[in-house]
Amino acid sequence: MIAERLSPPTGAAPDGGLRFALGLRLMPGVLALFVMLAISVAALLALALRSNAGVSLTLLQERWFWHVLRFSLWQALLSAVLSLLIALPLARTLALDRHLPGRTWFQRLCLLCFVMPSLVLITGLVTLFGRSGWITPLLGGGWQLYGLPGILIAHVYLNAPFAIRVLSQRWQSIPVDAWKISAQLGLNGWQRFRLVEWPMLRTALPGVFGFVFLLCFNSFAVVLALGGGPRATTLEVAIFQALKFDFNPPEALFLACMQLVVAGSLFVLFSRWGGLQWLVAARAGDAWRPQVGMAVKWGGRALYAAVVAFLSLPIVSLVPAAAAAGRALPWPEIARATVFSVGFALAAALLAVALALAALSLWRHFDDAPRRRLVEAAAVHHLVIPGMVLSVGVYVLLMARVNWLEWGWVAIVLLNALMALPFVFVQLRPSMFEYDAQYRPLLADLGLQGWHHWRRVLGPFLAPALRRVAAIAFVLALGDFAVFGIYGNPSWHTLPWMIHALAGSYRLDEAAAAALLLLAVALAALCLLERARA
Amino acid sequence: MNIRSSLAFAALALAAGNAPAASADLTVYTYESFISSWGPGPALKARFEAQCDCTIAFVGAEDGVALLNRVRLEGANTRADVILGLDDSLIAEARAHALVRPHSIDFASVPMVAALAWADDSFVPFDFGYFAFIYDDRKVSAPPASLAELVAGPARVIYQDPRTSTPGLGLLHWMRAVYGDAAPAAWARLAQHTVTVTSGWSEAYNMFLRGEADYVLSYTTSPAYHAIADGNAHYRAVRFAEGHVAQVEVAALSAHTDDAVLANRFLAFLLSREAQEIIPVTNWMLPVRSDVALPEAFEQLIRPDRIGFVADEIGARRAAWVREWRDAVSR
Repeated sequence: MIAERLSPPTGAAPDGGLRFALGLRLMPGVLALFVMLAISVAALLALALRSNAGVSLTLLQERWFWHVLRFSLWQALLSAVLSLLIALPLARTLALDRHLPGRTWFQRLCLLCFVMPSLVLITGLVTLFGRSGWITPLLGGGWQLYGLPGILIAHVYLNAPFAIRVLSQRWQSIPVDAWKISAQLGLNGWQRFRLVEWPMLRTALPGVFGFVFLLCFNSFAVVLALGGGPRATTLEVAIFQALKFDFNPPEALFLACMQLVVAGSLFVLFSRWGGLQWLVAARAGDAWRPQVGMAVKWGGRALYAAVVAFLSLPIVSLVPAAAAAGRALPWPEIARATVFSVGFALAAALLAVALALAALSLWRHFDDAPRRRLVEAAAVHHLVIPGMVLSVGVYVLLMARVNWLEWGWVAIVLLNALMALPFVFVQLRPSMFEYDAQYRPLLADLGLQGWHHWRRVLGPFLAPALRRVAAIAFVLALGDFAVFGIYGNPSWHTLPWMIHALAGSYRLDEAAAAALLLLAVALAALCLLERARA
Repeated sequence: MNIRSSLAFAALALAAGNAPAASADLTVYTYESFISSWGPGPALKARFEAQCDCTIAFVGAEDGVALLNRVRLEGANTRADVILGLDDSLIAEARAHALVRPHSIDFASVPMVAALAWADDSFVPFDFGYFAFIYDDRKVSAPPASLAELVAGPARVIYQDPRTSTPGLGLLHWMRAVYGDAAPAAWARLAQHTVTVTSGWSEAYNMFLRGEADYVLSYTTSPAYHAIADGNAHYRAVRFAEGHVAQVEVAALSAHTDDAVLANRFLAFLLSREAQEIIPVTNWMLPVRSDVALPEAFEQLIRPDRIGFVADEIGARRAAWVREWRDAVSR
């Protein structure tokens, strides 16, 4: 149904010149598609052919393996459910309560979780919920952080903010007319929810759930540290072990493929469940929102306050240590690292956005579901390939031809862009869809094409969404550790790397200070990005 | 946006232009914290460059294991002349994959620490440390006298995962050296009062400093850091009657170096008194020479007996040990 509506306006077979022009227009998309797929395939192949250690399929017979798989799925499922349970009411509050104090800052805070080094998060959560934690006395005598509670708290910390951001944007995309009509019809709260809000949620929820699920499925350091021991091990730990400690690339590859298949098919299932049928653009200036009941309003505000505290306290808990260490910081090194971090992250964010736009141009052009799904898979599959597997694969692939000590920065930018791509693509797609649904017939009449089209119509339309996704890509790349770990070089140290090095040589207070700086840089960048005029 | 992005790329291109290793005479692959400004790297580089009339470039991997993987991956393409920072548990693998070549150092001419009993023809030790459990004497008044006592409980313990961290692997080795085939039962006992097992040293140590546990697995030298850098003498290592397992950090010539003479000079320099005085107070490990003058805090450290297996045996049995540990503690 959608496909029919979106088929290109050219009904008749295009003549040669037009076909050529069309082909030219698709070039960036085809190129992007090629880059996305070729890099993964080549990296995985390079790893597969690299060593003759062989894949040990005995792994499949070990009870341990199935235990790990089951645990990975179970904790990811619980974490995703819990994250959404918190995100849903809060996203609604953010969208409907126009007088909520500090909304803009809260939305930025929501992105900071992406740069939080795992060591810092672990320390922060231990300071709050650990044995002598600030919050522990409130939790009763039987409280024990280590185990499933620790894992769930950390995963909610890492993922609920993302879900909150995405869902509140979806909520805001409900057209004002729908709200107004529901008010005129005198619908009560429940009816309004069912008729106005639920259709939007139904399409958005499965995708968000799938995304959070995957993020938790791939989690590793946090699961180990707060899980209380190897009972709490995810598949990602096994991949890390295979690739790093046992140095058995085929086994790592096998595990990565298992992860790709299991997590990937679940993700497909979730996203198929949702859809794009009911999406209309949010228009600026439309501020009218229905009144909600007092109980709902103040309940939402209480939750908001609790989540603000939950998200900011681990950061606040860094302050005493950081203040103690401020003077001892190796400032010249830190300053350099900051410059490089920002440079890499900015370049990676721009590249990710460019790749996503190119892929979307192809996605829009295709009018059949299978080809569209190919584009989607190409853009999103990086979410399930561990960054370390991709990085090592590319490293091995080109190492005979490329001096990585000189050119590693290219790989850092490119691979970080690819890692951020799923976030960018998935969030940009609805905007693109809305655009097509609203303007495509009109544009076909106007005959506006190419640069002018971009400059005058598409660019301005997409600008808010572009800034939003660029911000996410930026913070993701800013927090990168895995890719830099392979291609890094002392001449281009980044902040996360400095934090790791500081913490690894007893300088935990200095590491806390550097982490605060990293968060501050991310926050400053977010403010700038959101203020920038495209 | 456009201007900003091109600026970023220009900055990156500039950075790439002054990448090291392209022009240096000697490229040393090592781990990250060795070459940080507070690590031994910068001081060693300055001293060695002053005597060799050459330039050194360091390349840092995340840690010793990542370092080994890197040279393994690169094979003949490696740019390393010297590989610095593997430990004794990784020696067997480095040798098996022909990543190193014999050095020309005569250990008999250096007053080496006797406990090391070092005579390897390819690997040169540059520092070492004994694994130990650290406690805060303001919180713990009667530390255990033996590993058996610690394992019996009930003190709260944090250690590192042997699948992802070298101290964790050290504990695996230690438990095996003390308990032999009875290790699984001891692991199960220890698991009952283990707070958590972290992927890296820094998470574990940080949790300990925040009061999450009575003991954390680290090195006998940890108290020296706190005494010297923080002026805090309350952190102490427990001395176990059974003896302690050591971690010996080594350097070697890369099998693919094109300047073995200079690389050998660097290895010899690492054993010099000058270098051996720098390393302990920057890398927080013990010197391998017995004639090095160290700060007072080092004199206070416990001096355990060394036990454990030889490097080749650790390499050969590691996988089985990890499986044994994993099954014992996750029941």
